[in-house]
Amino acid sequence: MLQVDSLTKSYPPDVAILKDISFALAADETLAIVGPSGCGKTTLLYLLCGLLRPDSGRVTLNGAAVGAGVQDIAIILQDYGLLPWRTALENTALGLKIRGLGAAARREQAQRLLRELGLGGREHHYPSQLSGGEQQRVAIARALALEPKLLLMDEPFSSLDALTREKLQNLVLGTWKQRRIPYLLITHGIEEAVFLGRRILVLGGQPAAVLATFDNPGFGCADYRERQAFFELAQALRAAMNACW
Amino acid sequence: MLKSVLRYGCAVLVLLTAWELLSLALSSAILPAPEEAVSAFAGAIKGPVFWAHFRASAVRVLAAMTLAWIGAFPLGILMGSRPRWDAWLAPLLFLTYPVPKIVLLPIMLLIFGLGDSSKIMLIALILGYQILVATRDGVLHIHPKYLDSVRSLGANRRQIWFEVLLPAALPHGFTALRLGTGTAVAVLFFAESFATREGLGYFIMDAWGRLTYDQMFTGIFGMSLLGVLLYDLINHLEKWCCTWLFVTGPAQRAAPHPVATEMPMWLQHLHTYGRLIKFSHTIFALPFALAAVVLAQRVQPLTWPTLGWIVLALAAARSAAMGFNRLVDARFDSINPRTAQRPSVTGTISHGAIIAFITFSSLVFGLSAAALGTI
Repeated sequence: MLQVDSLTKSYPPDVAILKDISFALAADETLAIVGPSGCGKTTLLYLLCGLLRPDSGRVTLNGAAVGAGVQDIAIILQDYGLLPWRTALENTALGLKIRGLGAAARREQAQRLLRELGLGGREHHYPSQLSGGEQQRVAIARALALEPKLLLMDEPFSSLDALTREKLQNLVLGTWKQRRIPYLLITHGIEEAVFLGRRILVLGGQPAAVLATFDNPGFGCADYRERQAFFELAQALRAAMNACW
Repeated sequence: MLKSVLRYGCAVLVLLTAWELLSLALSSAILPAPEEAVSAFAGAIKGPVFWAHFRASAVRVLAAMTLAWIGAFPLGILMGSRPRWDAWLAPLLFLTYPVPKIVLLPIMLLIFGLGDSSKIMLIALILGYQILVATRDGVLHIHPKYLDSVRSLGANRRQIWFEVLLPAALPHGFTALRLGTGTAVAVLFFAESFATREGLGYFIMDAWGRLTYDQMFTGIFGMSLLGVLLYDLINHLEKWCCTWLFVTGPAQRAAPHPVATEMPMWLQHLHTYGRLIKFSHTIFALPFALAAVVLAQRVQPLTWPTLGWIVLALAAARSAAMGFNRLVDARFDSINPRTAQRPSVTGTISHGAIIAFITFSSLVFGLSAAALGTI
């Protein structure tokens, strides 16, 4: 469904960021992209959702080219991107408001999502009153409220403590099993990539290119983190990343 | 809390002493003793003349502030968010910004006439520049992640304006407005010393001309009162518009009140009830009652027991009123994040206990009022 063909992007005057990036994401799949900090992962994500335009190459979703403000793609930015002046409920309903949904309908939908994500009773708190994990849940709720065809996540759990991170990884996996919205996750965590990516892409080099692709058949088991296959793939991924840099 | 009240009390005491000493040293009618100035002020606020001047000044400043806000705040957002507009407007702004606008009064008088509009325009112009610069800078420094996040949701220009730019700019506009109150009152004084027969500036200049220096200080007190009221008004407006700035963070919410665990039981209860009615504010209100006592002393000498009854009556009356307030507002307090941790909402104090507290406070108030004599 998501098709990416030889994307190239450089920033003026001539700093090449991405070179000839191609991959595809099928409708029943999830994809994790790992790479070092500053290698152009966020730029790639911005290209995928139309916030930036590529120098060459193209991104299509179900055959249609992706432009700014595409309604079928929801994105969860690094540091969540919640508006400090809106409550959890208003932040969750923001996408629906922008689409022009009525106040009562969007409120009801946002409330249901927040409750589903374990934030019942926190609707009227501002982001500054929520913990990092709670803010991340609000960001997920806001993305899900749009009922997108594709979910993009930019290092969503990088600033959380280890236990909260695992809980939210489980939440993302659970949500995927329930709704089957394909997602693309950008991360620098090897274990995170193995736990959440049906396929894993290694990005690296300058300008960044796809250096390796891993298939992850064990993806989706609830106790995958304790299995031998999980450790073996994580080892292989680590080795590949070490070889590249 | 108590310490800061004490420090303010000290500051007032130091100022009054310095004033008293200076007026003794000068022994001139130009600087009357503080008690003379205060009693002249107390006399003036009973009559309609002072308030007519006060109202004229207040109307001018409020009109100027409104005008400055309407003109400068949207323009500041525009310049901060649209580089192409800013490229042309910023040189214009920064070339004219350093000009002391006060020298333009004669031109204002020429264009807008001798009436109120020229004075209002002058104050609005000076305030407007401050609001414009602060708002523009604030919008320029909005973190791009907020814009990206709203854009990724498909927002158009109008939606970005209302969801991001406007709320992000509000606190900067309010800060400029608050800092501007001092300037506004100072310019008001200057503007009102020309071509008018009403307003506090005229009142001061007139008293000066007639050598009635205690009257002059009445005007000066009036101006500071006006300044304080404006400052307070802006604070309230900001609290009302920018709720998110005044909420407490997760750390403060998660942890129980830190002092509570180490205190003996009776002291803990006292502390909880103190939090219920914000007892610290009773202490803040005390200077007002005591100022009235100082004025009343001119008519009737004060005794220590009377002073004690007055303080007790004040504390009891406020406790009863605040307790009642918490009781009837409990429903709203639970929704408002600022008040959601009040003991009346969390259930630390039951409704029955609050009613008992109100009854007790009312009784104490009745008794202490009775002890002070009949009205």
